[in-house]
Amino acid sequence: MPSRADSDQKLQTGKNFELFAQKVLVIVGKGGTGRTTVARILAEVATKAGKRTTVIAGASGTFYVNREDSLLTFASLEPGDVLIDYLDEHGLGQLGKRLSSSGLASIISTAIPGIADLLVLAKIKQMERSETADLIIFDAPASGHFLKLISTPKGLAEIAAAGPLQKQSKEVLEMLTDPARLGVAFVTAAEDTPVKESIETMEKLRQEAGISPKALFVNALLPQMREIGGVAGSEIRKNSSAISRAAQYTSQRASAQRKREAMAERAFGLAPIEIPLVPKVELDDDDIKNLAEIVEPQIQVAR
Amino acid sequence: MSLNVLESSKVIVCLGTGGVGKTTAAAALGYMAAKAGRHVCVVTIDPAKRLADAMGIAEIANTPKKIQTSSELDLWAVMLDPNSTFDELVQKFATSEKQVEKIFHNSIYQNLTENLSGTQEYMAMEKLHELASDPRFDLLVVDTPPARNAIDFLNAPNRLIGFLENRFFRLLISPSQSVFRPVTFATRMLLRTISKVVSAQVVSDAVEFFQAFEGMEAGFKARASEVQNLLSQDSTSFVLVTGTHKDTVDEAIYFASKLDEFKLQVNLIISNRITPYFGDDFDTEQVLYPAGFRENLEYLTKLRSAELVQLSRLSVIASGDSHIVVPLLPHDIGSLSEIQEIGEVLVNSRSTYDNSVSP
Repeated sequence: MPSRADSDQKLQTGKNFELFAQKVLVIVGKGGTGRTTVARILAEVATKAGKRTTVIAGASGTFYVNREDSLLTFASLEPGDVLIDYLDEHGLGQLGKRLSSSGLASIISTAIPGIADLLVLAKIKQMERSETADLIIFDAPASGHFLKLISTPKGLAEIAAAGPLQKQSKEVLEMLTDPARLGVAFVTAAEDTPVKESIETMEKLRQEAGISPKALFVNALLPQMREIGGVAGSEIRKNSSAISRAAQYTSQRASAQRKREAMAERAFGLAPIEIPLVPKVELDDDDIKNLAEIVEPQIQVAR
Repeated sequence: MSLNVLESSKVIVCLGTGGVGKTTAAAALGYMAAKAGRHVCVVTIDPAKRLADAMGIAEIANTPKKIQTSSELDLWAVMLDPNSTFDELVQKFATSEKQVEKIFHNSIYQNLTENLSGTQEYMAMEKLHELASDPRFDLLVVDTPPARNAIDFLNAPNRLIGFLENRFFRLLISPSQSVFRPVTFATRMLLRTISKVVSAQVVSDAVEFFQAFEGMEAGFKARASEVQNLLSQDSTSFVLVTGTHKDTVDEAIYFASKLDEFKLQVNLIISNRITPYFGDDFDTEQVLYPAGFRENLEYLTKLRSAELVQLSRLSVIASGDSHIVVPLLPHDIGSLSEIQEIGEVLVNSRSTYDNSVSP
């Protein structure tokens, strides 16, 4: 991989920024932008720092299964399953199977939108309260249903009004809005649509739920090839060799990426944590270790 | 125009996971078909803002709008509004104005489109059904919602019907049934438990919902089988859109297997955003390149070959000449001319993955 031309390490500007200062870290991002990659990198950084880490993920859980040890644990929380469990535990157990297959769960989740997500967050809150982990990384589902829940003023309140769930939602809301307990890290690719959508989600979270983003990860960045610009690069630009054309291509894409990155940086008010593009279609554990070394100096981790 | 699906289809359904450029592909296919003289409407759902602006459909609307193009193509687009599409369906099948009112006011109904998975997919199919008989168009290109899984899309109509026919609840609450089958003690206990665990409101909303829909399932059912019928016509083509990453390729293969279960087949695969080919003359000894330049070419070449290995896995679901690979352009797609650019690639450089597209 070519060295990045601007590898100057930016630190987050927030007061006493430390990514793992709070126990729960929610990783948010549009599908395909590298949310799972970031979760894997952070699990690597955190366990290296000696933190007992629990990763909560859905389908991407397969990445952790063989890596579980005394420091790293993995839990799968699928909203649908959590809702059925909840119904089972609360007196519908004997009928549970029959009810869920006949659609009670789907009726309830349609009648109370977000109930399943609320229950997932309630489980996370339980884990946070127990002393089994120092850090909980939540690789949140792409649809971000729970974001909708917490970023609309009526979302949680409506569920709270439903009575028996009132206590649950009150406690979840307390956790969500306490930066000392929970932080939200955004992941985006440096492209137009993902950046704009991330900004939109971030602003909604800020305005409606009073939650400020803790960190901004910008994924899959290309090296900038600065030499190609200006007078010095004119010879290279004229040259039609594969090397030259590849350099011009990378340069053009990289500068488009930096524009998007700057746009995200301004809107978030956070120095982006940069992750370079790895020339692979799927990252293995060694790739993650390498990326962890690039990410580690960009975040502050207390030992 | 050398792309079969654009010539022979009346309906093109684009399928794929989110973020692979499905909407762009749908718009580009529509554009090229219109250029060849067809009367096209692109049906899209939740497009990225730039793309919606480019197509002139920034506002959600349930009626097609003509896209302003320099060469006066007969190209239209509509951004699907699942809620009002569902409302129209209810109005069509309801037996009285009172029934319509009751349904519209029910909170489960109000949450249905957004929260019952498969409902948006179903509404996209419903819109397709409606436009299929619109004399203004002879080709509809449908951009489906980013599916969580293939079953959501193909099963969508059945899923909604399954929900409406929820037998367990219907037996409990349907007044016509309860005459013959009085609410038992056990049933009352169950309702009480549900009230306690979730809320009494849910139980009463659900009872009201199923009562309000009473008698409409037949209409929905007939409609669903018409939609299913439209999908299985020879003139309906399925286009799978993928990226180059392993997960999007996995998803495409899974999608194809699901289509197969429904006796439908993939007519075309579009793989978006492959790293372009630059050549492999690494040894250009005359020129002294700055540090990193040679590595950059090696890096892009390596990335491209890893992507090609992934894409070659798609040969199990489509032959080479029905698989088009679109290179990643160095700029974002967001204007009509860029949609056209992609369209030209689709139509002209159609070939297998060893096409060498230079930037």
